Parts: sequence; structure tokens; C-alpha cells
Amino acid sequence: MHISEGVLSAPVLLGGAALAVIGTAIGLRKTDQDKIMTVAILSAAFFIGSLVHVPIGPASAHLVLGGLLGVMLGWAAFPSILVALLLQAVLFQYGGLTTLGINTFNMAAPAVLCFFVFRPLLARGTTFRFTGAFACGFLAMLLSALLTAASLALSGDAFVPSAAALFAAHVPVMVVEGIITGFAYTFLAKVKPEALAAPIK
Amino acid sequence: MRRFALAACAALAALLLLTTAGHAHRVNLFAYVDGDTVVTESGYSRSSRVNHGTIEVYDAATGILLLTGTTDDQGRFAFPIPEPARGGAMALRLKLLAGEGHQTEWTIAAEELAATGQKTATPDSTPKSGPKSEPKPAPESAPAPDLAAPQSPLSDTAAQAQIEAQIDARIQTQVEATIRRELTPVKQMLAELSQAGPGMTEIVGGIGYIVGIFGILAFIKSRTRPKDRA
Repeated sequence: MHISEGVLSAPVLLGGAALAVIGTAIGLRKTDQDKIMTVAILSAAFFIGSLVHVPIGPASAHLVLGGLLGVMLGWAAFPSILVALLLQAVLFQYGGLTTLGINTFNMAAPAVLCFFVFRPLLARGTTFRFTGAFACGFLAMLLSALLTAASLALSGDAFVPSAAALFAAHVPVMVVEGIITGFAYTFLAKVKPEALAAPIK
Repeated sequence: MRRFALAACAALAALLLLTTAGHAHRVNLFAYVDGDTVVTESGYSRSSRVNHGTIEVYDAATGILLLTGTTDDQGRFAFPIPEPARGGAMALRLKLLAGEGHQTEWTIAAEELAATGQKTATPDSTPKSGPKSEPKPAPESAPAPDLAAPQSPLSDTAAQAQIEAQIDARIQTQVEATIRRELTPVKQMLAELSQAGPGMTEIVGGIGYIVGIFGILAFIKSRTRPKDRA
């Protein structure tokens, strides 16, 4: 889901960059000093997660862990994902520097959105918590795929085929992400609740 | 003062990043000339191939689309060198569209195509009359010189020269065939090397960068915090 350079038109790139800057600014404002370690560690997890590849159809999907970053960080997912994507672009040649903004927005916005939608569920008992975290992992990925397809559509690709292709390619990854997010979140809620963005009752 | 130095360092580091990542992309395309065909290999990082990706071949100078093709399960696509590009007349720009926002390019330089002859009109007669060579001008008069030459009672020197030219041409084609055969594995190896995914260096380096970046962030926050409170 890293969009390569030269695919998107300039307005889409600029728009994505602007949104990413806004998100990152909010995220940085919400990151206090105690939280920086969590943000950094999850940034590293996101950075490495992209190396776990699952070849499906013509594309090859990999773990994104956007949902996990969302449930754990909230708004701070933006700077976390931005840093990880920057390093992936520079060191792995995934995506590119011009598409950094739009890629960041496509990954981080669904993560943050899912966090706010499922926050009430996350704060409840263990089973609800797992369900909520699973939904976050699953839906963040789904929405990221839709956003990616939308950005491609804005640059001239037909929306439905590319959305369908992205969706089909990422269904198994969505499930895997949901499970990982679910277990990671319930585990952390048990052993280290202070590391989570949502208050645990 | 120290903060200024820090900001300057960060800006310099950012500048460095910008220069090194001029051509960043995630899918890989590698192409080489093999005789009269161009072989392309497409892959994502780490051994997964681009199957059924679209390859578009352009004239690098004018941007005219020459042909398109689809990669097979191995991410390979081979095509005969297009007519106008033979003999190194132009460089070819290959564009791989792997779908879903993945695309990359590869350029085959004109020099690489220079060894491929102008389109052979009679590819079956002698083993390739093509490769641009010196003997080419001589046998233009004789379409099937092998049989015709010895019988015609021309002057001895002329016949001799013709035979020598034929032998030269034959040796050349054989040498070319051998070299091509020997080089094929090397070219494949190069293709594989060019598609190697991120190694341990990049991964560990990246984590180091993350630690550093957030370390700087923590440092900045720790310095501004007391001031806010004060």
C-alpha cells in the first residue's frame, strides 16, 4: 500500500502532505514526554512490520499494524507512522519521499478514526476489549485500502477496480492484523495499562 | 545556542536523506538485452515476483509507446527488440505498472542495443546476417554466397576475400553466441542482486534512526517543558 513516486498527481500529493502535517502537529502536541517511548517503539514495530510479506495475487501485501498504532497511541499514531514511513522510503525504497505525506495520511487517519470510534469498547471488559481492538486492526486496514484506492482514483485510476484489487489482496492481512491488534491490546491492558492511549477502567 | 546547533544538524541530516533517495520505489524492474530480445524481471522486494504486471516500453527520447506486455508468474517478460530501436537507434524506457500505485522504470541505454543488428530480413539463411560488422558490405551482391561462391570462376583473390569474409562472419556469430550463453547466468545473477530486499543493515539502521529521532524529540520536550511551567 505504499504508493510509489510518479503515480499520483500533484494536487493529491500536496493535499495528502497537508493533511499529514496537520495530523502530525496534533499528534506531537498530544505526545507528552512519558509517551515518547511508546510512540518510538510502535514506530519501530510499524517499520519492521512491512517486512513481513504475504504474496497474494499480483500484489504482495505485508503487515501494516496501523490499527495497533491507533489503539495504542491515538493521535500520536501520525508522527509515529510518519517517521516509520520516512525510513521505509529512504532505506527500503518502499513508497517514496514525494508520496510520504499521502501515504502517512492513508495509514494514520484510519488508525486514529478507529481509535475514536472504538474507544468506548476498548475501555470495557476483556472480551469487549478484544473485539474492539480486533475491529480497529481490521477496519484501519480496510479504510487504508479504501483511502489508497481513492487517492489513486483522484489521479486518474478507476476507483472500483483498484479498490477491489486492494481489498481482495488485503483481506487475509486484515484478519491477521485484527488478531495481532486484539491480542497485543488485551495483553497490554492487563500488564501495562498506562502505556495505552485510552483509559482502562 | 545548543538548540540552534541541534536544529542545524537535523536540517543537514534531512538534506542528506533527500539526496540519497532520489529514485525511491518499492517495486523493482530489471531488464537486459539477450540477443534479439529484451528480458525484463519484475519483483517486489524479498523474492516475491510481480506476476501479471504490465510492462510498457517507450522510446526514451520521444516518449512514444512502442509496446506493452504482461509479466508471467515469475515476474518475467521478454520481447523482441522493437524495429526502430535496433542497432542502438534509441534508448528504451521500460515502465512497470504493478497495480495499486506501484510503478517503477528502467532504461535500456542505446549502447546496450547497439550490438543488435538492423532487423534481419532473412533470419533463417545464414546464422544471423545481422550483427553490425565489417563484412556486411561485401556480400551484398550474393544472397546465398555459400554455394554460389566456389562455382563462379571469378578471380581467385575476389573469391578468397569472399570466403574469408564468410568465415569472419561465422566466427563472429559463434563467438557472440558463446558469450551470450556464458553471460546469461551472470545477467540473471545481476537481476537477482538488483532485486534483493532490505538487508540487516537497513533494518538495524532504521531502528537506530527511530531511536535517534524520538530521542531528539524527547530531548526537545524535556527542554521546553520546564520553561512552560516556569
